[in-house]
Amino acid sequence: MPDAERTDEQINQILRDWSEIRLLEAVIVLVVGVALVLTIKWVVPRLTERMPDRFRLWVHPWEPILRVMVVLVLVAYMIPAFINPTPENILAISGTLAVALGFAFKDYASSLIAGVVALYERPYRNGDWVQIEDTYGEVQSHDLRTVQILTPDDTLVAIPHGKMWTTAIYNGNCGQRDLMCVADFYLHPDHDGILVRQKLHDVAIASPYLNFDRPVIVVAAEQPWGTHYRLKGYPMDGRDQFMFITDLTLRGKEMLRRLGVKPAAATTVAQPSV
Amino acid sequence: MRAFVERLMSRRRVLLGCDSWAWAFLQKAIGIEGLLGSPLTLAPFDAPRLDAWFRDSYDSRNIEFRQRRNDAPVFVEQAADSESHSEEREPETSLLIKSLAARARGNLGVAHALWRSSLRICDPESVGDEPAMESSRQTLWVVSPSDLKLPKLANGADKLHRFILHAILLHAGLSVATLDTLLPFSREDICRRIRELRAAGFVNEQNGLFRVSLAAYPQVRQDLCGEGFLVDAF
Repeated sequence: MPDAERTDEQINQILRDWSEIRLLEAVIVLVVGVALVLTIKWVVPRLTERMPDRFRLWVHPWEPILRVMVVLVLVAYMIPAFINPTPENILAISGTLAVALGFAFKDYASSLIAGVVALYERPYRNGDWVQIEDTYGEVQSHDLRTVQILTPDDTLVAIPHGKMWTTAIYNGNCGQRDLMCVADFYLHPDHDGILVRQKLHDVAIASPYLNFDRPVIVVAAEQPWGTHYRLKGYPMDGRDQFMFITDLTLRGKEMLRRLGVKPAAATTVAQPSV
Repeated sequence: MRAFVERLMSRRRVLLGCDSWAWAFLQKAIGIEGLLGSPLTLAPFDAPRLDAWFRDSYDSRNIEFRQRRNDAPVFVEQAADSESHSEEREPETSLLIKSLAARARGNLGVAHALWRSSLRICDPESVGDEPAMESSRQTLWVVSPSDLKLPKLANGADKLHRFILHAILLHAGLSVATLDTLLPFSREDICRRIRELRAAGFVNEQNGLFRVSLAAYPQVRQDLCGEGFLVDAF
């Protein structure tokens, strides 16, 4: 019995006395904070869709940062409102939380922490085109636990931030508006390579999507089945990447057909014996 | 185009006239300035030149131009002693002419189109509706270029509108058939956007060719530049 009494006493020391807690004020602050978080999450993406494309990638990444700031302010207000903020109490609560999170919500806590780290390190931000494992798409939102990626097939994929501890994250544009696109051409080896390279370059500079401030590059590699050309360029807007690649591919095919260059034959190549 | 430039380079003296937008494209595409040298162009019509050009174009004995907001004359009377220093001093120009020259980027055709669209025969802010007559001179009010109503698309501009305007500027005018060949969009989409651009006053048609209207040119150029399109240097 004396132990139970001591525990009650300790809890009473940690929590404020009910008469000290301004419950109504705390509820109002909580409601306002949550409303603010939801408003930011709703308004900022819609605002960025309405503004000129060139401003989209400046404004959109601020959305998760603003939300985290509101949550931090909320937590900073709420904890002293209910708890006596003495060093002993803070230590006791953080120890309890650490044990609880370490055992019961390890992955959840890991993702939460990774989410905060991602805000600082920025391996991805809203509007970036990223590949995480098999998922490629545009980062739509950066929530506390997950990053939401919209794939080109219009599927929203939620990936826990915790993936960043163990998985490589490929970011195509890193906050920039444009990103490199590649159109592949597989040709029969018997052709004038210099002419094809120049014509492929011309195909790129004739595309309406092309960003002229970035270079156009043609890379060729000889393969056992023929010659592999890679036409690289940057569209003005990363969202046009698939239209840009389609335009390059179709115009490139048409140009190669006019030049009389044949595509690589899809034949089985004998593998050298080991 | 490459063959054409090579043929030009093989000659000793060649005079080549080229639109500033096409030149910008050729510079990016084949580095034409490295092959043929830097281009020469007329000096821009800055405020004093524009002022002088308008003074010569209109008979100041019969027409008086006044600024709509403050009723000040558009063409500032030059001081009497200015003649003796005319070679050293630039003639005084009104803010409206300076604003017009800046908005037109020194392009005379654009400045003239903006000037024509800013003329009013009566001052909407004055009480009477009758055109003001002062003795035998007619007064025309001139709206500041910043107060001019800009062309606007009913549903806002999308990327296709911009692609069409950019292609038209690069080629100094295009027909629908050529736009259909150049742009990777359906003919229906192109025709619809052209209709919208025409209705809003962004383009006009002449002999089957669509061109960006002079009055809308500054706005179109600024928008294209802001969206990352290749623009001319003038």
